[in-house]
Amino acid sequence: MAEASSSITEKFFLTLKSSDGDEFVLEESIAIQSITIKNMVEDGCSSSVIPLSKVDTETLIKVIEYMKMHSSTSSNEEEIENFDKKFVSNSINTILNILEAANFLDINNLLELCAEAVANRIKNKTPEAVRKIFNITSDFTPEEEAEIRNETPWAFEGNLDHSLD
Amino acid sequence: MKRLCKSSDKGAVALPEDIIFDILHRLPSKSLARFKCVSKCWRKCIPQPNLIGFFYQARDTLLRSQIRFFSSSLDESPSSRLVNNITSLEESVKFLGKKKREYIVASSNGFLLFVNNPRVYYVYNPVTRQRLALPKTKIRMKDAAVGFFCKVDDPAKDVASFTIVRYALPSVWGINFTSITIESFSSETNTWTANDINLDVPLTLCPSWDIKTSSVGVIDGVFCWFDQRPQITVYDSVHKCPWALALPESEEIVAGRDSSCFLGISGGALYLALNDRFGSPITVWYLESNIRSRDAVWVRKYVATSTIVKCPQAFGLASLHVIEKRNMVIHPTVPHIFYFVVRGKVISYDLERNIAELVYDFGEPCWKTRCYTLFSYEWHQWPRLL
Repeated sequence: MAEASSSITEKFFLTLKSSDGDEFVLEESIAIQSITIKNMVEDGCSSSVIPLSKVDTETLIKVIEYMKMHSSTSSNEEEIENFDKKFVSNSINTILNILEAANFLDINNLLELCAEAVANRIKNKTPEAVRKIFNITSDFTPEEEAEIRNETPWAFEGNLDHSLD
Repeated sequence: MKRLCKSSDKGAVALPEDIIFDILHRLPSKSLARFKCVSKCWRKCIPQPNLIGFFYQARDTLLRSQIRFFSSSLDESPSSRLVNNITSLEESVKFLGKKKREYIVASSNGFLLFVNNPRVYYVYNPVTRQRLALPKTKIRMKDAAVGFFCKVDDPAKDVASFTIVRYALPSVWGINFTSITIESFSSETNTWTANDINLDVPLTLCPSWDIKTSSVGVIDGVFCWFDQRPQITVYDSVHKCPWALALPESEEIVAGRDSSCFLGISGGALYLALNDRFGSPITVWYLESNIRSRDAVWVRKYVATSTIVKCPQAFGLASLHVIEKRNMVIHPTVPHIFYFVVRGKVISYDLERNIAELVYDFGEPCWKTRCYTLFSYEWHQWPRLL
């Protein structure tokens, strides 16, 4: 309780460590947008460095950028909107990495933003392009695939997007 | 432990299933249908298009306008997220139609078109509860045939764009028209435009009594209506011309007994079902020729004896009754599944497996439910903004 009241005047800092070993110092009030980190802080595990073994440096930089912009203290709505727009214009691979990190860190807004962005980017793509983007090898036999395609031939009509971004 | 969708060994991306689901959940049904063949894992994540919702309402002045929603799933294990979605839809229609006489005119890709006076329309998104009032129509029509199409798969836009077309129906039976006025609205221009079209081949139009005057849907910019002549009236919104599409050659239809004819669009194709007489089989045709071709080629696809007809007691129906044609609805993506209303009960009928199932019981006497109109609703649309 004492800590909560003093946090108004005193800032607490956390150190996040990426899977590449880089360390980032971040205000606790910003970092706890991540429910995963928040739980760690509440459990008292935040005294030292918080290792994020699933998040690489490049992704962590983006996630921190996002959290800083979306922390309650700074930025107005318009700024945030413009930031989000720019944020989702990253390459689809970057967004997928951020999406995975957001899932691990449990940052709901970021998760939604990225899932929405990915959906928007892939919705007109061919299944082949989607496989490449998600690095998936089809586990259907050609016959099985043909059969599935034949269930909904209309879904393959029109101008489909073959690009990988 | 979170289950992962398998990816290539070299790959860095192996997204947990719940993330994949999160992404897929935001895609329009056309994309979902296409992505079923990506991998087995994706196929599992993609809801088979067998969950369908219905809006229904009374079109009766005494009953006012009650709008309700119910859904049907042929899937035994719908994910909890989908259930939440349905609940919110039920909530979101509760307040509709209470104050004024608001009617659903049409449903398209997750959006509903309402009318609350003959010249005032609005578009409603039941997922986000957004409501967009349109400017007043330019032309007054006592009875209008209306077509509504919401386009949701435009990659350049996050907002839905939609088109509405309407034309006046005569108050007298079977008049030949040599010209017709089509009024259309486009969300791009936000204005109604009237087009007077001279017809080379006269078009016969009939008054609307109690059947739906909303179009059954749109294929590639071509709106289709089914009227009680029976006739399929078609309007090509791209080339701006209407015509009548020939019906399948069948004794029952030629005889003009339209008592149980139904027209619907499923998976982008036009289907016509006939359940003419009680105890006779249900026959389903689909239009093989291009929708723009003036020479319609119909192919008979199913002839099935209805289980409902065979065994009415199974559904708590004490006696035999003819299916109400106005409340026959085809599944929007599975063309062999039809929904009927018989004596206040909604029954789904799978023509391929010849299985009938009770979907919903209105729980009201059939004289009331007779004036209910069903609109099928594909729930899993991206909840777009208007």
